[in-house]
Amino acid sequence: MLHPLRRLRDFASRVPRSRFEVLCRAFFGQFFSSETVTSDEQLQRAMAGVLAFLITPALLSPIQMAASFEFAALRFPTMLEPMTRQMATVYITYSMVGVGVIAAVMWDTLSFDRRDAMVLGPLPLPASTVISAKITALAIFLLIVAFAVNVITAVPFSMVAGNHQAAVGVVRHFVAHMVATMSASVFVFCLLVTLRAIVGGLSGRHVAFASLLRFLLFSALLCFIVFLPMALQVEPGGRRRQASVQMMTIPGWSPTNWFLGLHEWIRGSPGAAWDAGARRAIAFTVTVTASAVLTTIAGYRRQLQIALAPSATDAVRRAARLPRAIARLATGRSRLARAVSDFILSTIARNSTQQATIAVNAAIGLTLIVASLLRSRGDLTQLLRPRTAVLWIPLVLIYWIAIGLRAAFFVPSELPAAWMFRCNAPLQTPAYWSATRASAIGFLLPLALFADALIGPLIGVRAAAWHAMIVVPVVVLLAETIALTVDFVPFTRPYEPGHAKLKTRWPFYLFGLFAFAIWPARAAMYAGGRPADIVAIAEWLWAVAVVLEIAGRLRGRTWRMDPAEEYKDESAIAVLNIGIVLPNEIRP
Amino acid sequence: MLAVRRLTKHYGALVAIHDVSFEARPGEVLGLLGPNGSGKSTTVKILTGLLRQTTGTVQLDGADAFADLEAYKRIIGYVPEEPYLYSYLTGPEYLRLVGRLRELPERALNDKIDRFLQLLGIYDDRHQTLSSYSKGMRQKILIAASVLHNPRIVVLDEPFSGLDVSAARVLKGFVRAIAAEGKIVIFSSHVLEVVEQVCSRVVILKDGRIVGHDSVANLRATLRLPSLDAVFASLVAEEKIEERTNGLLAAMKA
Repeated sequence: MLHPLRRLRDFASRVPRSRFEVLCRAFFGQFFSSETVTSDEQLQRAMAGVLAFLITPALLSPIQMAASFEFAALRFPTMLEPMTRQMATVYITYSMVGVGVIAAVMWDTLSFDRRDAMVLGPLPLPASTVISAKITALAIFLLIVAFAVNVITAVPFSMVAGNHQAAVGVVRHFVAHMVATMSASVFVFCLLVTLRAIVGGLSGRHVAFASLLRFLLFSALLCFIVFLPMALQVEPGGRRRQASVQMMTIPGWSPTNWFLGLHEWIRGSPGAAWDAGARRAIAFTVTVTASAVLTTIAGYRRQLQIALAPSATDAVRRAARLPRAIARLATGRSRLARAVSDFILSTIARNSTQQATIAVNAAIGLTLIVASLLRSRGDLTQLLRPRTAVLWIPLVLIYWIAIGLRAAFFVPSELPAAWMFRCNAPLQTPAYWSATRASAIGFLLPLALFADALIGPLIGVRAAAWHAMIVVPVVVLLAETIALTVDFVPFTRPYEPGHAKLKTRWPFYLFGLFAFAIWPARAAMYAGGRPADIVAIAEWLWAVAVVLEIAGRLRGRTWRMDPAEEYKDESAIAVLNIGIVLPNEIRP
Repeated sequence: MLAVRRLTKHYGALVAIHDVSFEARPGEVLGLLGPNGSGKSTTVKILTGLLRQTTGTVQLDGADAFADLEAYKRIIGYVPEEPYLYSYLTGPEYLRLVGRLRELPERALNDKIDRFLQLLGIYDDRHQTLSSYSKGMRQKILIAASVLHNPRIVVLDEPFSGLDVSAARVLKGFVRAIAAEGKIVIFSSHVLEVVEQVCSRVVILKDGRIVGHDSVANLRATLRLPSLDAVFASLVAEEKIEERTNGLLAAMKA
């Protein structure tokens, strides 16, 4: 006898599906598919990791707060309301950042693209069916994600904060929390959907825009996780020490305050400010949701136009000009190395997958910088002189960007096209090593100098210029190290799952942070702006770079292109799951 | 002369080609024919050095061609069946990358690229990325990339796929002209009319084995058939064509 669930599934599979439903399922499936990873299992594992990373701090923090709320209820009952609002603001921020990060990861699927238009355009489907299916899929995805992210904080927090109220109070708290956080999630998600549709339709730079957005949102998420414990600190005190409650100040202009207004309005807190905030939250959420729907409709029509009549643009030619010029200098006379470095830099400049890898790692660097800067506890005058927390800004940022760059080298780009290298390029040449090193220098150096220039207003332009004397050799050292740890033309090999081995190799990454950021910054600190000492440090760094260069040149001789394509290529075709297989040649 | 001797390739338990031997001479276009799964692409990929054979040899002028694979690849030009390209590069960028990887002189390379783009009618699209090129335009880029370095051996796998009629006519003449220059041209295709027009000799494969190997005229004369299409049908085409056609029609109407 069949299991009831199975019977239900069998019955459901026999029910004819409408075109709307088929499309909706296909669009929904796009959120959980990727052309970079080679298996669904691998993708699901990666998604589970991201969800665990997102959910853990939110799940633990209300439990962590329980003792503080109990203490406040006993000793400072008047503090309970401000503390509740403080934590509600934190969870509203978490909701916005968490859903924002997920939307940024799913950026490419948030709106129609050219491929959708090319596949669906010729089918006898009304535009209204296609658009409503896409909007429905987006709405279902948003509701699932927002509910999952917010219910985790809503249940424990309403129990912790409502512990001293009647059951009705707890329920009301839960409802207020869910409505406020879900509205905040909808607001951010719809804002990103609107941006995606506008950027995808108007700009030729949507890949770079997406990477910048991912960088900012991942930074925001990491900063949130780092600062979560600092949001509310209750110290019980003792015989000689007074009890204290410290709360992080939330700026009044922050959109989180609108949703806090909504939260308080539902909870029934008196005050005109809450009512105004609630009205603003509702108005903005409705407006942004409407704009997301309208831009999605416009996006489909625009993508149909683009698919039918691609416009000539020379925007692609302008991409990565400066890095390419620097890389050309670094490759010397080898035209082969120049060709490969051009290829590497063009690939990074024009592919969101590679950029996303770099953006996520850069976000770690930015978070470390923000965390170290905030140790000054608001005393910005401390930052107006050279100190390690300031001098390491360009170094730590560029270190994490370099980590991301190296990781991006392992992510293939258009793998089936790699036959071109096997067929046209020499099998073994040090030019591949030279190109990888040169492209790393070309990519990292402008960013490092830009980050160094940013600390100019803090420590003075002259000091920043002298600091560049240290930053430049560190960049070269990083590039040499990257080139030593890669032994193939980047992007031309299949991705090996788990190659980063973070569980076992994290001490190397930590050591790298010291070697490339903390120790050079401290050395610069000890140099104290004395040119002779800075030059001496730079000389040492260049000496190490020369040693790595020699090692790299020796190793470069063994770099070898796989002569044959013996691996099974699984990414040869792109499938939009509506029963149509789209040959690769018409993939956008 | 390029001589293939008793070439066999296994993919695990699957035998893709078995005991395949033929020769391709300078000045002639050798056609490789066969239905899907007959082993044409495997043979082509082995000839270009992209796949390793399980047994057998490929000899160039009497010596093992793969003894110095790099030197062999330097003299070969290849148009693959599937137009896999780095779609985020523009046409000239792709050709420049190929030319530089083959270490062609920079100035000559740029001149060559411009001339190819103009002659192939895609010069106006030079600023677009390959993702926005049509299949035919991509095919033109692949053909240009394959002959950019003036190779001694040209291996073409369905080179005219997606090309418009006039471009296909031009390129048919181009293929014959390349052969007339004394180069070895191997031409793999399903389009029998084109093969008949372009190739001097043909090798017909079925299930990984050679079932016919001669000039088109000799094959026609031997089998007393009027065209290459008829020769091909008699050697490799499956029986019951009418039955299958009717089956397809019935399936369509169901």
